[in-house]
Amino acid sequence: MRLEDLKNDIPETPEFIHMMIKSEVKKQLQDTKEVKMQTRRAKKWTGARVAAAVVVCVLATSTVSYAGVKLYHMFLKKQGTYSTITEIKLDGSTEKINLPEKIHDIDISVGYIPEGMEWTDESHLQYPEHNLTGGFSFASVLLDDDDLDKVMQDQDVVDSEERTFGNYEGVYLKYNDLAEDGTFNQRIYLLCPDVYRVITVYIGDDISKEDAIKVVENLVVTENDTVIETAGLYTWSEMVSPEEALGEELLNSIEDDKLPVHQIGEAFNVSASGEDSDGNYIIEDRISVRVDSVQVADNLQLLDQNILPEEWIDAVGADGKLANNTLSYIKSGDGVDTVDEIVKTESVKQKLVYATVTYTNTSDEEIYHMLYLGTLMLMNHEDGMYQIYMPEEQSGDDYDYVIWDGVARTAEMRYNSVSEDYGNGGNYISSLKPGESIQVNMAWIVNENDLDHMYLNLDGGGAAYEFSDWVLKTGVVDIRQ
Amino acid sequence: MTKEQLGTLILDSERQLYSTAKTMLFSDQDCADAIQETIVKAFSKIDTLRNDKYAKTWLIRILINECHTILRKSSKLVSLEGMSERTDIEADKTTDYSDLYRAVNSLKEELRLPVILYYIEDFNIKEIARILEVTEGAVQKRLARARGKLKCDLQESEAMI
Repeated sequence: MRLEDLKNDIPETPEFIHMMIKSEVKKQLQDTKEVKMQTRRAKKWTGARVAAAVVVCVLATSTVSYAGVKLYHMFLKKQGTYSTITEIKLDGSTEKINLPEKIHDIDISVGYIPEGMEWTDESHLQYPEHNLTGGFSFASVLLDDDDLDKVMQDQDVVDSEERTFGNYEGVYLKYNDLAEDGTFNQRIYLLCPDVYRVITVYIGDDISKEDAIKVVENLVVTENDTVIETAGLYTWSEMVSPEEALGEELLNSIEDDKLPVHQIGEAFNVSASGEDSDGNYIIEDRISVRVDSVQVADNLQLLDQNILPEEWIDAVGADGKLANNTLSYIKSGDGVDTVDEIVKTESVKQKLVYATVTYTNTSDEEIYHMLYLGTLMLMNHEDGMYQIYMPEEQSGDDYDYVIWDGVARTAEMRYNSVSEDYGNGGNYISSLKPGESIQVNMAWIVNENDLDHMYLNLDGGGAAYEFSDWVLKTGVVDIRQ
Repeated sequence: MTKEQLGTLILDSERQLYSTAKTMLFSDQDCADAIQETIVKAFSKIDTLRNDKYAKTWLIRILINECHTILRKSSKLVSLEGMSERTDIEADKTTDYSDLYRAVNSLKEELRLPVILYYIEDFNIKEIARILEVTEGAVQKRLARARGKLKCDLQESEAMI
């Protein structure tokens, strides 16, 4: 069974959900304004509860009668040279205001759109040619009254101001940005107590400060007819103090006697996923694999020119060779008194790494749609240990990490010569009979100074930055150059 | 996009909506709530959808946000062990699921959701990145990790038979 066949395992939509969908769509198309908020575990609405809900709904729609509009303020304070604190305070003479149980949902639109930008969805205003990066991203949180003592701290801020954007108080921040890569390097917090919200506008490095401010000055926030419960909404205090998400720790170093390391020309077995003749998903342990050769080149001539990755074509200079990569060595700042800065740059050659690999079916059954995957790992081997090597995380006396603007990438193969119109990535061998072999080519572009760290993981699991169980079982191939 | 077109899209996406909600919420009652909220929000926000070709990713993202709201409300963020137990209980009530489906459902949400969106719902990497609001590289990495974990889990389950 292949992963795509999971579709058959998803249970059929229950009849009551099917009917609900049809009914709700029909109701919406009839243009009814009534919104069914109750869930199947709805609380029982007593008369008093209904009356109270009606009252708070009335309050929520009236920006004049809601006294809180003039009572919340947003302040910006600086800490050190590059850190800021954004806080929201109530007017000192005012008693705590209780949020209603239900409020209207909001629509965000803008009265000014920089030329060439368009809405790519309801919360993103972008340049279409920037491939869904940069631009504006709009988000909102509930202005809860639980924890106005908490403050939003931002670091690496190189420009900031507290100001008014149209009808709303807000704060503009610009962050230190060493690589112009479409990331959000600006942010505006907007205090909108009339709709019980703080709106955060994330702004990309493809937008000028002038345009950023002009767009937000012309923001239009309107309540729509949908009424939502405030309980369960993401709040300002949660945004300010997010719960820490615990991630898995990756095993990135191992004793060298625990990692099988094969050589070029050596055959060994891998477990490959595929299908048997009945279409059942199988994992076959008797697939033999051998790296026949590894070639390093300055150009892309070894490759089938019809299936070159698009970004690689752009990486070839006028002389037909791969362009150099510019490495920037960064000294980290503390975000308060210092920011990250480039302390030196280095031009390195980029190299094509071209591996030829043979897969052989040594079982007695034909395997169909066999997934194959080469993953390039970088490792150091010293003092009896293999250690995952991450070039971007290297540090020295005067720098803490490295960035670059080239196309050099390790991990999953970027080019593969054999493909099948199957699955989503196409890296499948359509069939391999018992005893049959097939030769495939895989390729990556890497920085020249990383060639002597290369190991090839052929277990199909795709682990590049950790010693997964599969890597420790199958081993890797030493392809250092 | 007109309201009628949105209605057609929602009806055509019924199975996708249910299967996506099911991977996050497990309970059919919760799935119904999330899908209903999604439909309501989609119609109310229809004017903000400027580009129809993103309509489906937009719809799924609303659904995922609604599922998260329900999870937060009822504090149903359980440990991985808890999720595995829940999966077994739900599965026993209905049909006999394949080992692969059970294994996918035992993945953490961070890995499970990309697998479902990629292999079942046929979204591509770019669309999944938009839905989950992460980079394409992060989606690829999560899919690779999920494949690796599934191989481990299935190998263990085969060994236990």
